[in-house]
Amino acid sequence: MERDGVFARYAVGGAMAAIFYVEPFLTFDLDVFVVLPQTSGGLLTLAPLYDALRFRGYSEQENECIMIEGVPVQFLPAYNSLIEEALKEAQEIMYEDVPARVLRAEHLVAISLQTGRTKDRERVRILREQAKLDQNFLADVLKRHQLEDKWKLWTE
Amino acid sequence: MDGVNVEIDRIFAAKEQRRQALARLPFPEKVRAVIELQKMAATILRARGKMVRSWNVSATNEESPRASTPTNPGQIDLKERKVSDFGASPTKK
Repeated sequence: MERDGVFARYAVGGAMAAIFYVEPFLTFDLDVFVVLPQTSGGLLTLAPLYDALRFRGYSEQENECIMIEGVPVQFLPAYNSLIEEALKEAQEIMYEDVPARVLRAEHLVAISLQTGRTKDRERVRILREQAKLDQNFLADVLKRHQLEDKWKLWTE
Repeated sequence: MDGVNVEIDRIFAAKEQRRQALARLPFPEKVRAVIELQKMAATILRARGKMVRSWNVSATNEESPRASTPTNPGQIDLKERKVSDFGASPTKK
């Protein structure tokens, strides 16, 4: 779909992206961040993406999820500069011989700090503990997106 | 008393080591672990009236270990493990 121009770029985010770097934990969702092409009116809409998925035979479920090969996938448009940057710098992986893209651990930390829920705090903790974070890269990301104070608050 | 503390320290160190080993598993094996956790949790959550469904990913059930992550501890075989070994966090995403 990226090749077909349905979206400009995608990467797995959320819990499943975190699990790429840390021990497995319980989640029921697969979050996929996408950069959507802008419509003529400048609006960002997931409608063309849903249409393309429906055309491929995938059905829409409750809670804005699309069932793809037995997995409920939640597509989330890149909604701010941090997510856009995270998508741009996501890393390429191979999953069962299929190329895929996953957000960097440092960006997952930054997104968790920005989102700020209790489970995000837990995610920051486990990523700090188990993922091999590039501290310089993380420091740059936190500075760029004004998340240094939150980082200090959550980690000191 | 010191003997007990030494033993407790040893147990905690082993736990930590195992969690680090789980973190180093190839991604497809982690996905398989997540699905096993979902199956376990789904029964409990459904009993509480929460409708959840575990994933149905046939590829992750395959025998062939087509690992994608660069590191593999080579010590943990998920097929030999009980679901309870995965140490679920209570996080419901």
